[in-house]
Formats: sequence, C-alpha cells, structure tokens
Amino acid sequence: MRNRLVLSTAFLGLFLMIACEKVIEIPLNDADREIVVEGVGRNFLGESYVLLSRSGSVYDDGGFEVLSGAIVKVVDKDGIETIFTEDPLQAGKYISPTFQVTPNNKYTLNVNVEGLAITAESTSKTAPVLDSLTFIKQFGGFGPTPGDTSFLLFYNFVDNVDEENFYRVSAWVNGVADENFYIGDDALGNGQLASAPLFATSIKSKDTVFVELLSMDEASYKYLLTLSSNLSAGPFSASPANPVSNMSQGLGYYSTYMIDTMTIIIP
Amino acid sequence: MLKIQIMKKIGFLLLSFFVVASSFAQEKFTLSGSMKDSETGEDIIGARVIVAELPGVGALTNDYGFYSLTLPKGTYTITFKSLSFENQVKTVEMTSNKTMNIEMVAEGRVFGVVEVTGQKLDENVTSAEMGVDKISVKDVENIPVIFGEKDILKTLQLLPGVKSAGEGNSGFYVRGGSADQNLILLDEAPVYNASHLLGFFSVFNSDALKDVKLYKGGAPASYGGRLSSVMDIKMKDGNLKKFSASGGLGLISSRLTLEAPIVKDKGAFIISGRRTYADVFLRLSNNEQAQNSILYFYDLNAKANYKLGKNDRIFISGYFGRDNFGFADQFGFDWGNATGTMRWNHLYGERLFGNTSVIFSNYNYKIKFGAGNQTFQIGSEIQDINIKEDFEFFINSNNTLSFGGDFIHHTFRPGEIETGADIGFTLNDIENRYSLESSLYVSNEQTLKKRWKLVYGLRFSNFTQIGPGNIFSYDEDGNVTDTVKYDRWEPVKSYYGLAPRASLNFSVTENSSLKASYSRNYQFLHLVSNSTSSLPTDIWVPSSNNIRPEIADQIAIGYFQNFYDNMLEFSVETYYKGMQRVIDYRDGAEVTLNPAVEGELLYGIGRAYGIEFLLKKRRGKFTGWVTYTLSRTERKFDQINDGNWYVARQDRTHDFAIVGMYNLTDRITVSATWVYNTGNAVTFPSGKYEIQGQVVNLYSERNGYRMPDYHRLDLGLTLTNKKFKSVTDAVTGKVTQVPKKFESSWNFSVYNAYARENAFSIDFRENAETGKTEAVQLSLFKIVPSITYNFNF
Repeated sequence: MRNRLVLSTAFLGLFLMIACEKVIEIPLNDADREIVVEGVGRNFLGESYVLLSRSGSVYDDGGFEVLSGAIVKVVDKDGIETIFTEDPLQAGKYISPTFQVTPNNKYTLNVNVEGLAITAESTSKTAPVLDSLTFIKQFGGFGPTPGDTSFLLFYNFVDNVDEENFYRVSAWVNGVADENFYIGDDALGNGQLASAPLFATSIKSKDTVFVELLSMDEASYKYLLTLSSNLSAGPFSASPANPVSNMSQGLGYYSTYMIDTMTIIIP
Repeated sequence: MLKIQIMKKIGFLLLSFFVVASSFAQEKFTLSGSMKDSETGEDIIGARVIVAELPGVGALTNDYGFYSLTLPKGTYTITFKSLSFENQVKTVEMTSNKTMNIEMVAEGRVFGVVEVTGQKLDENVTSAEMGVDKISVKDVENIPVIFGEKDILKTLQLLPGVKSAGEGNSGFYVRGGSADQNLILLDEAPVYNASHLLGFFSVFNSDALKDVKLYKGGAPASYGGRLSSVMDIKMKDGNLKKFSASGGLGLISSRLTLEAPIVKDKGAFIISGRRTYADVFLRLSNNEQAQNSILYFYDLNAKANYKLGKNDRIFISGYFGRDNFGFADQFGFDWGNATGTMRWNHLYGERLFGNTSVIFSNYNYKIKFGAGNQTFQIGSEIQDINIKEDFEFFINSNNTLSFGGDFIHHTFRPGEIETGADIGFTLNDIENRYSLESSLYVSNEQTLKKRWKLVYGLRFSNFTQIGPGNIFSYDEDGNVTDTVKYDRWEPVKSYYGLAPRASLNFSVTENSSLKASYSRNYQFLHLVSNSTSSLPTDIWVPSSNNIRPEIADQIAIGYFQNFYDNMLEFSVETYYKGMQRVIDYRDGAEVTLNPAVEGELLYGIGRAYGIEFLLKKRRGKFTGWVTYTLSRTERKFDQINDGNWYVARQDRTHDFAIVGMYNLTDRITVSATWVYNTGNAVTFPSGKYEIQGQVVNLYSERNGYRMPDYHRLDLGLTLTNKKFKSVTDAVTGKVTQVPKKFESSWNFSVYNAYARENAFSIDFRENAETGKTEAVQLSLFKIVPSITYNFNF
C-alpha cells in the first residue's frame, strides 16, 4: 500500500522536466555519535545475526565505525539463552550457528558494548505460507524512460485470520537483492487471500526470482514503515523523522521473522 | 473566567443597542432598493448611499446589492456612490417608505484602470473590519503569474500576512495558521481542495468571479468553522442586459465565458469554462511514454438568477472541476470538487432582508491500477449538505443587525476499495463517518457618536459525530483499545463552541483610525496530510470521540491612514493568535486507507504573532503596493522535539512584497512584482548511520534549520487593442470615436525574471560515484515566459 510514494514520484517526474538540481553547501550541527544495533532473527538455522556500528557525521565519507568486542546474547520466553559471537570474517557482526527463531516465541536481545547495556524485545508470529508466484506480461513501463517488455510479479498467500499480521516481501533477481522492499498489514483484509505485485522490481524474461515472505510483530513493522518514510523523503514529504526504534537506547531495531520462500523462473 | 466576562459585556452591548433602537420617537420612513451596474445588471456590493442633509448618516449595499436606510420625515438629497461608477444624486421626499433601484453608469472607460471591486475609497479607514483584504479582479488581470494563468489565490499571497505554501503554489497560510485552517467559500459552498495539479493552480477561474474577500482575523459571526481565515468568493451573476462573451487563450489553458439575460432585467445566466491542454502537446511528442500519458484539468462554473417579483429573487450556482492524470490504461488518477448553491433572497419589508441557501459540496478522488478485469481501485470522498438562513435587519442608520444559522450534514468516505473480477481477492472498505454541524449567530454593526464604530457578535456552534459505525477508542500510543457499535443517527460525541467576536473603530481624524478586534474560532474538520504540498490524497477527518475541535483566539490592533485624498493608503496591524489542540502526525503516519487514522494524530498548541505594514497607491497612472510582515509561528507537542516549542514549517521571519502597475498609455500597462522572504523552517539531518546496507539520516531537532532566502521578480505587459474606431458621418463629414464591440488584449509575462534558483527542497543523499553525502537543492522554475490572448464582446 505504498501508493503515496508512487504518486508523488510520478508527479515529481512531471515537474523535473523544468526543474534543476545542484549541490550546495549547508553547514550542519553534529549530533552525538550513537550506537546502532541491527538485530535480525530468522527461522533458518544459523541465519540470524546482530550488527553493531556507530553513527557518523553527515559529510563523513569514510564509512561507519563497526563495534567489536561486544557481548551479545538472546534469551527466549522459556529462558533459553544463546550467545552470539563475533564473526571472524566480519568485524561488528555477531552470529550463532545453533540459533533459529521458532513460531510464537518471545525473544530478548541483550547487547553489552562500550559499557552500555542495550536491550530489545521481539515476538515471532506463526509461519506464513506463500501460496504461489504469478506474473503478468507488460508492454512498456511506467516511468520517465520507455521500458522494454517486462514482467510484473505477484505474490499470493492467505493471511492468518487468527492473528494481527505484519508482512514484508523481499526479492532477489538472479541472486541480486532488490533494493525495494514491500510492507503491509492485514488491517483491511484479515484472513483474506493477499495478492499484490512487486511493482517497483524490474523483471525480464528468463530471470530467476527468489521471493521471501516475512511475518513479524507490530514494532518491527512500525520500524520498517518509518524507515521507509525516512529513506524515501523527497520534495513533497512531511518533516522527516527518525524511524521508531524498539531498542532500549541507541538506534536500530531487533526483529524476529518467520519466513517462507519461493522461486520462480520467468519463461 | 475571561469568557464569561466577555459574554457579559456583549450582553450589555446588545441590551444597550436595543435601548438605542427604541429610543427614537420621531416619525421615520425607510428608503430601500438595489444598486446595479447599468451595463451588465450585476449587483454592486459595498456601494455607498449618502445623505447630504445628515452628515455621517448612510448605508452600504449588501452582498446582493441591497440597501436600506431609515430616515426621519423630510426631504433629502441622496448620493449613490461606488468606485468606478458615476455618482448619482436624487432628491427624495420621505413621507412614506420608498423603494429606489439605481442603475449606476460606469465612469468613462477610456482612461486609466477601472477597478471592479465596489469598495468605497476610504472604507479601509472608516469600517470597523480589520484584517480584511479585498482583491480587485482587474489587479488580478495585470499582475504577472506563472504560466500566465491569472489566479486570485496567488495574487492574495502578495498581501501582508498571507504566505504562499511553496513555489508557484496556490495554497496559502494566514497569520501562522496551517493550510487547512482557511475556510474557502465559493458562493457559500466550502471548497475542500482548492488546487489543481499538486497546488500549482487554483480551482478558481477568475473570469467567473465577481468579488473576493479574505478575512485574516476578526471575521463576522456569520462565518465559522476554520481557525485562521475566511476567503469568501462570489461568482458573477450573469449579464441582465445583453449577451456577452469573454475568454482567453493561454500557454497551458483556454477559457470561455458566456453571459446572457434569460429575461431582460429579470433573470440572467453565466457559464464559464477552462481546460488545460498539456495532454494535447504530450500526444504530439515522439516519446511513446508521453503519448500515452493523460494529464489535464478543467473547471466549469455556472450560475443563473431570476427575479420572481419585487421582493424575491433566486440564484442557482454551481462549480465542477476535475484533474485527470494517468498512463495508458494501466493507471488512472482523478480528483475534483463539485459544489452547488441554491439561494432565495426575500425582502420581508423595507428593513429586513433574508436569504435562504441550500448548499452542496463534494470532493473526491479515485485511483485505479491495472486494466480490464485486473483492476484495483481506491477512492475517498467528503460530502456536505447544508441549509443556511441569514437575515439582515437595518434597524436604523446607526445599527445593522445580522443573524441566522446553518445546519450541515457531513459524510466522510475515507476509503472505498474495488477490485476487478480477476484480481482474486477483496478488501474491506474503511467505514464511513458522519457528523452534524450547526450554528446560530447574531452580530450588530453600530455607529456611536460618529467617531466610534463597533461590530460585535456571538456565534454558537454544535458539532456531533453520529452513527452508524464502529467507533474506536485509542490509548496514548495510538493503539485501538475499544470498539463500540453505534446505530444510524445515534450520537457518538458532541462538542459545543461559543465564539465571541468584536471589533471597534475609532476615527482619530477624518483620514485616520485606530482599530482593535478580538475573535474566537472553532474548527471541527481537520486535514490529514503527510506532505508539504497539497496532495489530492490528503483526507479530511471530523472531530470525534478521539479528536477534539481546534480553537484559536486572535487579538489584533491596527492603525489606518489615508493620504492625498485617499490616493495613498497606509496601515499597520499587529496580532497575536493562540491556538489549542492543533494537529500533527506521528512519525510514519499512514493517511491513505488506514481505518485507525485517528490513532496517528498528535495534539498540541500553537502561537503566532506578528506585525504587518501596507502602503498602497490606488489611483493614477501608477498603482500598486508594498508590504512587509515580521512574524513568528510556533508549535508545541509533547511527542515532537522533546516537548519543546519549535517553529512551524511556514514560519518566515521577514516577508516583503512589492507590486507595481503602470499605465504607459491607454493601451499599454506594464507590471512587476518582487517578493522576498526568509526561507521556511526545515528539518535537516545531524548525522547518519547504516541499516540494511542503506544510509539512514539521523535527525535531532524539528525544523531547526532554514531553507535559503527566497526572492523572485515577475514582469508583465498588457497590450490592449484599440477600443475605439473612427466613424465618419456621411452628411457632415465629422469623425467621431465609437467604442468597438470587440475588445481584446495580449498579456506577456515572465515568471522569475532574473532566474533565481530558489530552493524548493534540499535533500541529503550519497553521490553515486564518490559515495560522499551531499546536500542537493532542487529548484523548480527558472524564467518561465508566457503569453495569453484575452477577448470580450
């Protein structure tokens, strides 16, 4: 349901014909450096991770400082504790080969870094089930440049009628992650068949598309929603704001996803 | 406590005027009638009736050209006066009640500018009204605007205290209020979305307009429902005398207006249309993409009036306008307003004028994705049905009492969803919401001892949310905590508002006055928008069990002086406005298709204060004005900016405008406008970090930065074709100048003449090549020349 974005982008396209852009100098105040936690729990063994880094100043271009040497652990609702250790191949990334998210569980993430104790909670939902991937063939496309023949891929699944659901759909085209992500909730279609296109993902004939359907709790959804308004801020957007975090302090989020996947090869 | 005191005072004032009204024992008679333009039969609004024998005694015509004047028995010399018309002097013997209908002849239309507003010369000084701006339709024609599309809303933005919502935008902010706090009325019908194409054009086709008035504060008690301003637009009634046509061909649109009597001097109609044709050019493009694009808007105004007898007259007027935007058959988006007003004027005797109106207003949008049976369509709508009754009682030459009331039924359809047969799923609509809004008002305009003029009144409003529907309650974080089902017409929640208004004028000298005013306003409808521009998808939400009405109190003090026989007009006004329960949104609020949209709102307080200067030259070859406004506008919300006061987006410390028009010859008018203002307050990042491999901006303070200062020069040139032709008399050989039936003019304009790159937005983003974060400024319009051809016959 990200119509707003599509509309304002389309409108903007019209005016960009007469508009011009230039890079200008604007002095900015510097905010305090903050710790950024990106905690992702997945229902596949060993795929969960926690990334720790620090925010930088706007005009810095040296990349972000990663935080090593932290103590990271996850405790589920039964008190079972899993320690995440730093990945020897990637500093600032903490992993556990034995951990996987189970449905309807509640997880607490504890991070101890540079003398700070940061916690966050996330609840997992029941596992979603992707029913099918379908497509329609399009001639030309919608946008500033005329497109070749392309395919609009639809994902189809039935929403769980018994719970309030929040979804995210991600796609990989020929192994390359699509920058766009699609999010939605079941407020208007609880228990219904959900079917929607990956309208911003460009797919051509013979492409292999891998699709993930992620189910998450409300706080995780709120974070993604507010993150998407932060990332898509444009000339007509309202006052930009920080995404609504579920961390006790610092920036970032902790989400535990239940995921179903499916692959399609376009003829 | 303050409220009660004010009410007591008003009670006293009302009482005192009744005493005054009944204390006359002399035998008295009433002179009444109407004033019209002899050429078109249009009513003249605000024209003056002066009694030579009784200095200071007189009357003004009302919105329908009606006047009423009660005088002691005797013989009087009455002068009928209106700007741009020849004065008419009549002698009347008042031995009984008399009716006198006057047809005013336009002043020599050969030289100089003919102003269309019927404003009298010194009204700015003599009336008790404050914070009122009137725009002459003629000014609108000469002032250069973008794409040559003359636009009443954009011209108003050149006046003090009125700020543009953005580059080339027809949206406006009045004295620190937000854009939804302006009540925009077209023939009494509220227009819920007054702009086309993202706000770059207003829906008002100035060919069809007769009179425009903007109240920036201290609006009479007959108006209510918005916090900041009332913009009252009246459409032309139609030519009662003869068929006439006018129109224009412009760069992006063409216009045509036809007027004619239905029965001469009894009834007339006007029909006016405008359509843009960007889509016609797109079709000529060799880009297939452009050829398949749909993009246009149109407006249609129509009005008819008919005199049923001496005491009755009916008016029917309507507006219909729509934007259409789409791409081939894959995507369609259209939106627009429809309004309709039926009015019945009735004279209940010489001194009581009544008007009954039935008003309809609708705004809706529809978005359609897909084609054939694979479609997904969403729509939203707001619709009003309103019955309104207004009376004017001309008690005596010192008191005019207005009273009346209205009753509105609002329907809100926030989200209607339709899916095609092959889509394979359906979605539930978002429930409609209903409410009733009613009000009663009384207001009196009183002259005391020549030097004092007072307008005081009271407006009482009720707003009731009614069923049917499942009504949600929310907790502090905006989560639904409870749902209660209500039946049809069952009241959910009621609000009452008592809004006193008072303004006072003290004439210091004949040419100068001091004014003061106080007014309170309630607003029951709120526009939810998560954009800085006016998007068609913004939705109106009513006050409800969760949303309380917004309240504003405004006080203003001003000094007004005219110089050189009213040729120069000067004023300075200062104001303070306090606002309660103003609305903002939670971060990441979803406006479209959100059944729990009320949970996304935040409530806070606001304050705005400032001082406005205006110097205007109204007559002569050179006319124009200079304005300067110094102001501040702030908001405070618990959940925003750590609960500290912050400046609102529309806060602009300094705001300058210079408007000049010069008649070089009878046929050439040149014009120029220059505007300068402090940049909008804006939120910029103060850091950045990485999430999901993408760079995310870190924000620390709401509206803590400023956009660069804005300034722009626009130039215009109007060439009028010869208005007269030479006719040689066959017998005497004498050559005389006869006015031509067909008049035409060319209008050339340049928007942003010195190509200032004003910042429309500033984005912080990574350079794709260097990876460095840069501030990228987007500027919209650089030197936009345009040409328009206008005609009338």
